[in-house]
Amino acid sequence: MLEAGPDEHTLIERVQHGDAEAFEILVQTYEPRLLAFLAKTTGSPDMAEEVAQETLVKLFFKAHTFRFRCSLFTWICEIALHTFFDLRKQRRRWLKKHQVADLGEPCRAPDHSPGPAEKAERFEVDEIVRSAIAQLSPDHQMVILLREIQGASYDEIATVMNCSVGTIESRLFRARQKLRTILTPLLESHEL
Amino acid sequence: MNCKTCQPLLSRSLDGLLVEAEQSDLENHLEACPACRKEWETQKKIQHLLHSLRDPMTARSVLPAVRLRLGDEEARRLWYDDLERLARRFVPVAAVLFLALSAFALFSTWNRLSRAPEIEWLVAQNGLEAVEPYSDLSEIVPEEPDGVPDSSIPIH
Repeated sequence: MLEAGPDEHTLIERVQHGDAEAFEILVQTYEPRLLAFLAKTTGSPDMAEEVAQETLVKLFFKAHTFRFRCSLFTWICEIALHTFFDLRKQRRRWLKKHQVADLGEPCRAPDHSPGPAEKAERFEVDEIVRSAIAQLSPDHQMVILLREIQGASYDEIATVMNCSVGTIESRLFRARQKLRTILTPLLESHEL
Repeated sequence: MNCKTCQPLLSRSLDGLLVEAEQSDLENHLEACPACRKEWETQKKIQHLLHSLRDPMTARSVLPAVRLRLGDEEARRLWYDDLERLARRFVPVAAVLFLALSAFALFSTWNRLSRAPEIEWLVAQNGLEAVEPYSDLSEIVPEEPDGVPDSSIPIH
């Protein structure tokens, strides 16, 4: 199941033995994909960078637990999602404690789309979709994000989440049902 | 196929996991059932929305920050490792000491209890009376007529 070639396999093994040089090569390989995945998931460049940083540090210290049963990137995404959920929870707790409304973060470099109005609308739709995902349970968020954003197979998701393929199928089904319930008003109002 | 059995298949069909026969059954049902067809279209739209989520950022490497963090984490972990090694060395010693003290306490309690009848027998044989503890301090501390203790007697 591992997509990695023999070189990458060797690299991972070197990282597992604490080789910092091999780790840097791995980071350079996966960092752009990880940042893109996290930016899509979080919708915030700063949050994506914070989560990516935390994830890569965890990757270095947890590398010895990687068993080559799924692709390394899917495993990295799983660590990143757990990190993101934790950071988001901490942030919400802080905002609640200090009674500050979560206004989100502006896009540092919004996408190049035809016009400002369309750009704004697409941004709004993206935010609604992200907030709908955030309303799901962590397990459901995990399966939806790994499947739809990362494009991981059921087998890989089952491996990183330590459960059977049947469980993943059922979680995906339920997560999609919930998303449908949450997003139906959006689909109707925006005529998407 | 009915609507109930169709629902889980919709999710698997979105991921392209149905075998030909299942896909054809599903399509036949969707042709005949407007409710399931609407559900299928909605699910397809949601999948499209998820796939078209945009990456709102310009790439900015986090590698320099990760290098710094790894240095800090490494130092912290080394400190924890030292602490753990120290604990690993002293925990067995502490456990042995604890067991020894517990055994000693048990033994002395057992010894005292087992010797109590022997002492009673000795007291009875020698016609001795068991010494009662003083219940009232006035028995040993003489009092002044007005009830104030004699200050000439030093109390330690």
